[in-house]
Amino acid sequence: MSDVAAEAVRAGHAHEEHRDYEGAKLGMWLFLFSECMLFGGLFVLYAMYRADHPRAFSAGGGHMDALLGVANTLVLLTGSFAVASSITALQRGRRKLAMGLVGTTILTGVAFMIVKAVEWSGHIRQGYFPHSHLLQGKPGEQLFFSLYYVMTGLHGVHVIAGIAVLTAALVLMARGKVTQEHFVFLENAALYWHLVDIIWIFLLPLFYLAA
Amino acid sequence: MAVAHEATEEIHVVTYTTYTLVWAALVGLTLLLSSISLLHVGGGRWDALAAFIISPLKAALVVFFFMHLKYEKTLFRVMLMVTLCIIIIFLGLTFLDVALR
Repeated sequence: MSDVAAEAVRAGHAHEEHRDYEGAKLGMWLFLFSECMLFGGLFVLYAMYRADHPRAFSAGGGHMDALLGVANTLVLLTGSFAVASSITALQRGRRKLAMGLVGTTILTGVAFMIVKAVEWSGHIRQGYFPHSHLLQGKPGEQLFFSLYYVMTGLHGVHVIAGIAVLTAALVLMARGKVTQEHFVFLENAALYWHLVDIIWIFLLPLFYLAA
Repeated sequence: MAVAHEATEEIHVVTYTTYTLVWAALVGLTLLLSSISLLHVGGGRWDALAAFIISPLKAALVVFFFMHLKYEKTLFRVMLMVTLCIIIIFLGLTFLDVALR
């Protein structure tokens, strides 16, 4: 009899998956803090160079299309809103709605990148890039555009990574691996997306509203 | 039990209304910041001040509501403060170094 009971306990353990909800989120936050330090270094660099070349940075900002920057901010904020709401939807058992909301966020990410591509190609076509003829003898503006490409470029890489992670969340939801009970993957994917949004919140005034 | 692990640890479900209000506030602040800057309100004197106040405010809204920090344990908040302090020390010491060189 006791053998049967022991067997049942063993079988029960074999089926039990170890999950650590709190730990999974803590790990994600730690990673996000390391991302803050990565971008933090660039923000410090920007602050130093801007203090050195205030006029050139203002002139550099004048070459930006501020309205595109503002529009892209609204696009990212809406994406963040959608992915945050998708967690509530999933927690309330509305899987289809949650998937639709994650899909919306992915689309906002794609829209953001398209606008970014239009902007970058416009700037490069007009000759606004480091060591271009146009910026010859203008060290301050060269720095402004170097930082512009590095910071928005690194941010763009994060947007692409965010799109990939959210797509993975979408697939896992469709396969029933991310569910009403186990939603930490979606929550962490959303955390990452919000960080990308926060970085852009700071990039907007630094570059687009610098004039 | 293998099921309902996450559901048994107090989960705070944030309402759609809260998210909608936060989103509206974020959009409003973005429009406020960009109009102050682009319309040169006060001859551009407010630009920097607006950016220094409004951007962190927007980030705080995202962190506390969208990222659920408001509903997390104190440990998460402490970790955020540590990160912010490190960045401020980093920025402050670099500025001192450049200024006193």
